[in-house]
Parts: sequence; C-alpha cells; structure tokens
Amino acid sequence: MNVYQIPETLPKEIDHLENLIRKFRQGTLNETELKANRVPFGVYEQRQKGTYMVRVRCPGGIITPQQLEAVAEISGKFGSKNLHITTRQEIQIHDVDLNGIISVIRSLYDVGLSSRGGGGNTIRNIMASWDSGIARGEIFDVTPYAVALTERFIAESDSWTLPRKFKISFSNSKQDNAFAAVNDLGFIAEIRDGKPGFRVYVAGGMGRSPQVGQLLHDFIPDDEVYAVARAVKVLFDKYGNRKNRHTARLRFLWQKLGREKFIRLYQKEFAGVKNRKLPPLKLKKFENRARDRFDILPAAENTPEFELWKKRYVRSQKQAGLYAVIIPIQLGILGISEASDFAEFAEHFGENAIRFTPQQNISLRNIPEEYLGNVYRNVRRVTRLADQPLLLGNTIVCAGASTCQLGICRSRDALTALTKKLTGAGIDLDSFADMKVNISGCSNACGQHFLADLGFYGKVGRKNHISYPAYNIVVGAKIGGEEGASLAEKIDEISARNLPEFVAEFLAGYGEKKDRYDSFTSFLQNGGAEDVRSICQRYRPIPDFDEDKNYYFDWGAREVFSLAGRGQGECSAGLFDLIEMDLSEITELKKQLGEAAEEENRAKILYRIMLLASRMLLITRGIEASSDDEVFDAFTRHFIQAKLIDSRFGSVIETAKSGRRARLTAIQEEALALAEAVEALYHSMDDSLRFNTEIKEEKEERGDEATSAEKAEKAEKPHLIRDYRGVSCPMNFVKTKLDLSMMQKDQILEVLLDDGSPIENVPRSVANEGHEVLQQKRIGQYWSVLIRKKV
Amino acid sequence: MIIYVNGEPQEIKQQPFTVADLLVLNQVEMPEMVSVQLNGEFVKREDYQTIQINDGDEIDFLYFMGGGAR
Amino acid sequence: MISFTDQQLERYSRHIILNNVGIEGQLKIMQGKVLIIGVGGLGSPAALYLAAAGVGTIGIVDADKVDLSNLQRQIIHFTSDLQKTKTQSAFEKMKALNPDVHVNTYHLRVTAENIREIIRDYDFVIDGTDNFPAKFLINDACVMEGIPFSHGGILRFSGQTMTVVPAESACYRCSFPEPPPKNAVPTCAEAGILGVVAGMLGTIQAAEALKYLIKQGSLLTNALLTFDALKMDFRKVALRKRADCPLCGENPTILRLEDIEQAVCELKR
Ligand code: HEM
Ligand code: SF4
Ligand SMILES: [Zn+2]
Repeated sequence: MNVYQIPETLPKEIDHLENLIRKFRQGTLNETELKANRVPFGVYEQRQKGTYMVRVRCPGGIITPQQLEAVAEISGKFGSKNLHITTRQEIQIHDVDLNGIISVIRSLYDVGLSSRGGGGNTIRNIMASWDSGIARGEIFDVTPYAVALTERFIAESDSWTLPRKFKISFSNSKQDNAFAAVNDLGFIAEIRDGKPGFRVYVAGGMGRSPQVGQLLHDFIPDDEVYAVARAVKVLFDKYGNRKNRHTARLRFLWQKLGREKFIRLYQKEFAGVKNRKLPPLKLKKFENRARDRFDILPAAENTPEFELWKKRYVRSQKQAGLYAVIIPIQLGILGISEASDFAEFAEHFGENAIRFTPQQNISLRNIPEEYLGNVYRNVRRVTRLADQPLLLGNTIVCAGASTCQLGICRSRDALTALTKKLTGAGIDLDSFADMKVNISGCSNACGQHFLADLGFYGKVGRKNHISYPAYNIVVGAKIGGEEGASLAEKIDEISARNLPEFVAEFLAGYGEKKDRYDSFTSFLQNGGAEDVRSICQRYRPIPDFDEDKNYYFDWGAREVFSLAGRGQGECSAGLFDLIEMDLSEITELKKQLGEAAEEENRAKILYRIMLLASRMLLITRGIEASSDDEVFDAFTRHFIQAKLIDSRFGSVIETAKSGRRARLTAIQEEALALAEAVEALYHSMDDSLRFNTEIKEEKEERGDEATSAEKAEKAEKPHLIRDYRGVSCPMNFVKTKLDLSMMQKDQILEVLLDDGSPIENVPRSVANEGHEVLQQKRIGQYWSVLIRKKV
Repeated sequence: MIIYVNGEPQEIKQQPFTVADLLVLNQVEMPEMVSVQLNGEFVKREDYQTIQINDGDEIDFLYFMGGGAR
Repeated sequence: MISFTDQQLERYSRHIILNNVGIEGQLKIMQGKVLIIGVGGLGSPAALYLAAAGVGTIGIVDADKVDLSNLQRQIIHFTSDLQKTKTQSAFEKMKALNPDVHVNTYHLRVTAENIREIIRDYDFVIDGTDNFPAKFLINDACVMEGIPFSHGGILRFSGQTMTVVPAESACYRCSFPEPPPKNAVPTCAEAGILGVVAGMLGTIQAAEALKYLIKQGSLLTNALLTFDALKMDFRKVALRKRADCPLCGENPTILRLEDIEQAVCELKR
C-alpha cells in the first residue's frame, strides 16, 4: 500500500535536481541556486557543511511498516544511524552527503514516499490527529481528508512557489490534538444536521509572533474541504508578502488586511473555486481492525512493569477489543536498527498500524489485547523511555543551539538535565501524565513552547555585560475545548542553569495541591502563576561570573555561552537571496571596474555587470534563462518592452548581445546607468513582487495628451469592469467574449489582465473579432484594457 | 476525344459512345449499384443506351454505399 | 438569456474563442437538438463529438445490442458493454463525457410508422444506419417533415456523405431514386469495413450537424463527398436538385412512407 499517490511529474523533477547537483559539483552552479531548488525538495543543509537532511512527507503521520523499514534501510545506506521524527508527523533522514541526495530521493520514490514540500515556501506535511479513526471520543476519522488533500496539493505546481510555508492540519474532535487552531489552515471535525464537516480556522501559527487561528467557517460540509483549502492557497499565493520573508506567513497577511478585508478577498476566491465545481477530494478509507490471522503467538506478560506501562501508554480504541499504544521516542530520535526492528514487528498489525505523533513519538494501533505483551517487549527494545512516565515521553524540544544555527540555548541538553533532575526527585511524574512541557532554543518556537502547559524558549540573559543562557517561561496554552484556542503566555524567566530545579519545584508544589483544582488552567488562575513567580524570584540574582561560572555555560556546552556563530537559517532559501547575490556581485564588479586599467578587462567587467543587471530580476517573472542571449532577450521583453525600464537602454543591451564587447567601454556610462535603473526598480518592488511604476505611468499619460481624441475616449466610463487577473489564456479571452456578448454595441468594457501572454493575446484577439481596443495601460504588474464593443 | 470520368481524363476512341458503353468500358460490374451524372445532370437508368457522350464531357459515377457499419 | 457557468465557459472555451462560434454559437449548440439514427460505426463518433460539443439534446436510436464484432469500429461501446443495448451503452458514455447534455434513447428500429413522430422533435438528423431501406426511409421522412439531415454510407475503404436541407437542396433520391435491387447489395465478404473509415465519416456528419446549428460556413448540400481512404482521395461531386425527383420534385410520386424490404445477409449483425 502507498499512503498517498505521488504525481507523475516527480521523477522529472528529481532528474532536474540531479542535474543541478551535478552542475554544482562541477562548479557551474553556485550554492544559492542549488539551495533554492533543494529546500523545496525537503533537503536542508545541516550545520555541518556538505551534509544534508531529507524530510519525508507523511500525511497524518502515516507510514506503512514496509515504508518505515525502507526509510531505515535508506538511511543506513546514505545517511546516519538515526532517523528523526518531527513535530509535523514526518520522518527525517540525516547526514546525507551531496552524492547521496538523489539516491535517497529516488529510493524513497520507489516505496511511494516523497520529500517534495518538506521545506521552503511550500505546502508542508498535512497533519491529522494521530488517534484519528480509533479515538473513542472522535467525531469521525479525518485521516482520509489529510491524505486526499495531500494528493491533490502535491500535484498542483503552485504548491511549491508560495510566498512562505503553508501548514495545514485536521483534528478529529474539539480536543484539537493535531493543533488545527495554530496552523495556517486548520480543520476540526464536526457533524451538523447529520452531515460530516469541519469548523475551519486560518492564519494561525507559531514562530516569532504567534497567533491562534481565526475562525474562517463556522461549518463547511466535508465535500468543500478542497475548495476551502484551494481558495486559501490561492489567496495566500496572490497576496502574501514575498518580499519580506519575516512577514510572509498567512497570519501576517491577516494582520495586514484585517479580518474584514481578508474574509472578503477569501470569499471571492472561495466562490471562484466553488464555481469551477472541481471534483471533491477522493477519500480513501483507512481500515482499523485486527488482522484476520496472526503469525505470532500472544506473549503473556504479567510483570508490574507491564501493568504500569499499560496504564501509561495503552489506550483502548473505539473498535471493541483493540488497543493503541504510544511509543515515546526521546527527542524524536529513532535509531535505524530500532526502526527496522519496530517496522518489521508492526507488520503484524497491518499496513495502517503506524502513526507519528506531533509529540515526536510513534503510535501503534489495531492491537488485540492478547498481543499487548508482544508489543511491550518490542517497545522495550525500541525506546529507552519504555518504562518512563508519559510526561517525559511527551515533552517536545527543538534541535536547539547544539545543531541549529539560529538557536540561543541548547534546548536538548536542557531536557537531558531536566530528565535527570525529575527522575531523581521523588516526584510522582505519572500524576502529570497529561501535562505538556515543551522547550525551544529560541523564539522561533520549533519546540512548540506556545502549545505547552509549561513552556520555555531560549533567551540571552545579561549580568554585568556578560551574557548567560536563560529561558522565558510561558504557561497555560489552551488548545481544544469550547472557548477556542489560546497560546501559552510568558510570565517570567529563569536561567538555563536553574531550569531543572525550577520545574522540579514547581511540579512538586503543584502535585501537592493538584486535587484541589479541576485542571491545570484553574490551578494557574488560582495561585499557580504566583507559584511560578515566587520560585523564579528565589532564583533571580544569579551569581557573578567569578563566583560560579556554571551559570555562564549552557547545558552540554564546553565553551562559555556566546552568540557568536549564530547565522542566517536555512529557511531563507529563495528568491531574494538570488537577487541579492547578483546585486552584491554588481557592487563588487563596479569596484573592480574602478581599478581595472586595461580596456579589455574593463569590457569584460562591463559585460558581466550588464548580464547580472539583466538577469537579476528575471526570477520575479518566473524566468530562468539558460544562456546569456536568453537573459538579454528575456530582459528586453519583460522589462524594456513592458516599460519597466526605460527603452533607451535597448541599444546598450543590443551592443552587449552583439558580442562586440569592446564597444562597451565606449558606452560605459549607459551600462552603469542600466544597472542602477534595475537596482532602483528592485527597491521599488512591493510586497507581492510588483514594481512601483506609478510615477512612470503618470509621465506617460502626460505624454499622451497630444492626442485629444484618445483623451476623450479615456474619459468615457466603462459600462462593465471585469478582473481577469489570475485567469489564464484562453479563459480570459473566453470570459471577455462572454462579457462583450452581453453588452450593447459601442458600450465599453474594461478588463484587467495579467502581464505576459494575457496582455499579449487578449486585446489582439478581441480586435481581430472586430471590436475596438481603446487603451492598454499598465498598472503595476497587470494591465487595464478598454474595449469598445463593435459587432 | 477526351472525357472526364470521376474527374480523371480518359481517352475515348469509339464513336458514337453512350453511357452504357462507358459503364462497360470501365468494367462496372454491377450497374445497379451506380448512379450516373453527365455534366452534373442526373441520367436516368433507362436513358443509358441512348444518351451520347461528347468530347470534354464530365461523367460522375455515384456508387451506392449502404453501410453504416452497424 | 445568456447564462454560462464558469465550468461551461471553460469546457467550451475552445469553441468560444473561435470567431465563427463564440458565445452566440455555443449557445446555439447548447440549445440544439440532434437525432442520431444508429449508434454504430457512424453514430459512435458522431454521438461522442456532439456530446462533447455540448449539443443540448441528443437523441439516439438503435434496436441492437453491443456485439463483439462491433467493437472494431463502434468506438462508443467498450468490451465491458457486450450484451448491453447500444442505446444504454452510448447513453452512459455520452453522459460521462458531458453531463450537461440531455440524451434521449430510443431502443427501437425506425419504421414508416414511427419515424416521423421521432424526428419531429429535432433540428437535425444524422443517418448512421447500415442499410438501404433505413437510408431511404430517413431521407423520405426528413424531406416530408422538412428536417435537414446528413446522409452517410461506407463501404470497405470508402465513404460518402451529403447533407440534405429539404426544399432547398438535392435529396438522396435526386441522385439515387430507388434502392438498389435486393440481389445487388454487396455480398457479406465484400461488406467489410476499415474501422477508421466509419470514424472519419461519422465525424464529418457531426461537423455538419454543428455547422447547421451555428449557421456558419456552408453545408455539404448539393454535393456528394466521396473519399477513398486507401488512396486518401477526397472528391466532392456537385449534385442538383431534380425537378423530376420522385420525392422532392415538382410532381412527386412518393407521397407516403413505406417500409422497404431488405436483403438480409446471414453474417451481418
Ligand atoms: C535546525 C534548523 C532549524 C531552523 C534554522 C529553524 C528555523 C525556524 C524558524 C526561523 C521558524 C519561524 C518561522 C516563521 O515563523 O515563519 C521556525 C518555526 C518552526 N519550526 Fe523550525 N527550524 C529548525 C528546525 C526545526 C525542527 C527540527 C522542527 C521540528 C521537529 C521545527 C519545527 C518548527 C515549528 C513547529 C515551527 C513553528 C511553525 C509555525 O509557525 O507554525 N524546526 N523554525
Ligand atoms: S526554536 Fe530556535 S533554536 Fe530551536 S530549532 Fe527553532 S530556530 Fe533553532
Ligand atoms: Zn429529391
């Protein structure tokens, strides 16, 4: 069984990436360009140069035992001894070298897995409640929706070129254990009037400025899931901020537009998608039942450890007689031999048996009671946490500063220290089984601290101008339930050194009073928050550097804490890097030009400057030229003919193209002026890659004044205005014809058309049919065309 | 003389030359399956023996085709 | 009034962008009614293309069931349809291709009794039958009812077709006044047919129907188009409406419909 269907285009895309890697190795492609292509493929460079991580898509956390076994084998061949389960229910292969990337991706493809969209500005892995299909209290199984939407979206090419990452999740009940309320788009199952459907949230997310999802639909019937998702995607694609990746996520669009405008624009897209009556998602059923035949015998277990384990990790399913277990995986790190051992064992429970959970754990389902003993034995081989309380198994930590370039604190090591502290503190950790303690190394929230009951994120503390590692403390996330979600809020901070003691003391205190409160939330509201503050108060003044240097070393660090070495993260792959790269080379070349004495040398430099200037912005038009001539031609067409760049530069371009580079020195001024014009244009580019050409247009209009007849026409008001931006050829023409057919002779139609083939074709075709095209006017990146109906 | 049969020129030595002669010359095995047009005019079956064909005439044989390949 | 859904706009976009079709033309197609008599070799492609084009109502007449020997050329029927009635099989494909079109099925043989009643509801008729009696019957009925139709016939590697607009253009009987004598009908061995020839001809007939609906171009009237796929020769012979045509002439002798007896070939189906 393959969980999801991979589009037929993938092998071609893999070939393309292979080609780029080859070029990179031969030195004909630079790193940035490779990165722009590899990251959307789910391939990240690790902190150690030249080693890569491949993130495998698992919608709803599903992977078949056979696939998991294959992933372990692939990692063994091309990667490291450890796999990594992510908080988006995916699995990652680490330490792959450049030569191995393609082999990994191809081998994954062979077993029905893809890493496409694992990173970059793409549709990321679509989540679903890990217990969907088996949970007793669930509304219905949402797994088929996550899988079907994945299949649809990974076949749509616009899923790979979004302004920023786009995260989608499905929860099977109000409990929202797939965190639908903090995804860019979240669906929560609901039944209304006997019909299955969803409550829909948008624009949620964590990271540096988190926001809980906003209600988009109170209820949609389940056959509209695709329409909603498609509409939000199109909206994001159209209006998302492509220029500044730090304000690119959907939630920033929400904040920029405000609720009303966002919803209005969305409704327009939604209506458009619905009108197209695209087929609803093709739902596959994921069966949850015991296998008919077992080729292992039940293993009897009756030790006290087994009983305790059952209490901690085993849940009965809604299918009578069947059980699901959670297998806690420390930090989500799963050794490959453990992975194959487990996968082979899991085959006994069918193809649908495995889920990765957002807590970076594994869940195994559809186990008849008499086989729990077998499972327990296997679990003990697979994880060291088998006999540990759930609290530790459920804790989420991010990679942290030990491996992450953005990290401030070494969150993983902090967890290790915390675990050590808690296990030796004589606290009954099982009484906190449903509590979530999450730790992020910095405010980027990869450790999901905002979703925690008790969360931490790394910060820099300072005493006497000396930095030390510290954590902000956030408490009281509310996900699920009737009142809507809210994120954990910061209430205090603590040094990294004292974090374990803080948690131990806090839990001990809470444990004593726990019976008096019906929930952790009510404890927080009635004194719990005070407890946090008073403990922090006691640890507040940290010792001076000379008194106790331990406070100035992070957990697991051998050097004194420092921010040196924090770099730009991987996630910055993309457009702007490429543009900036060309721009900085131009700057560098200009400097060289000043120093170059020889004519020949100067000509070479000038040529390069012109090439870069012409190439720099092509990518904003989706053009990748493969030769110098193509660069010049594309630039001429898309920037000079489109009037974004003054037409006087046409002749310099011709000179450069002609191959008579020597002549360039004679027109050096013009060449440099071109570079400057392009740079100015770049700086005028707005959030959505549109150029600010208003000023130019004004000028043009003034130039037009000569022909007064035209001006009179302009003054005429269109009878009908239609926006066909985003409508591709020939549908834009079709719709224009429809509009014209409904108008009277001599009435005027205004249509808005995209740049490129729409503006090149529609007015021409309309004129061919005998209508009169009165005016074509560029407005930013699109055009307004006035047409007088003639026939 | 030269005549045109189904658009193709054909040299005819025989004189006089009737439609019936033409059918024989062209080895039309089942004349029942053919309608004949002379210079665009329908020729009745009973006139085949009497109507003369002259230099430059255009004759079309229209064959019955009954199939619809049911 | 003009009303297209976005889906229809997209589905018919390649029609609409044509200067000669456009919104108005497509609308005419969508309001058009075409009857296809016989969903065999000729009727199959015609039915599919007309359904694809969005012809508002398409009638299909056939009394037969799908037989294995049909599948070599009757492309609307699939192996899985064996033993289904041809009308049912065709209905399913047409609806699957374009749910917009309304399909009327007539699981019967046209006769002198019923044919006028049936064709009366349509704007245009396509003759996709396989025998002379039916072809003459359709010609006679259409001329009497004043309904334009496309005649078609195929044999081995050849095909011929003409479009008849009653009262305006030559009818089939203007050139073929009487059915051929029974014994003159080709023998079974001679009656083979290269499958694609049926497709070529049925497609031409469908094109005539569409042109008639949108009133564009010129129809294949007063002409017989004959082609020979072996040489790929196409020839258009001009025909003339005859004043002495027994059917459409000035003094018609055929005044009422009559069923004509057909020579039956044992092997034929
Ligand atoms: C090791 C290198 C990593 C880097 C440089 C990194 C960087 C970042 C950055 C910059 C953000 C904020 C993005 C934004 O708000 O748009 C972010 C968010 C996030 N990251 Fe990472 N990350 C890394 C690894 C991980 C890992 C290993 C996981 C999970 C296993 C992870 C899970 C997340 C999650 C859940 C978010 C919050 C996303 C949201 O807004 O919903 N990250 N990361
Ligand atoms: S939270 Fe910060 S430290 Fe942790 S992985 Fe994300 S970016 Fe790195
Ligand atoms: Zn006639």
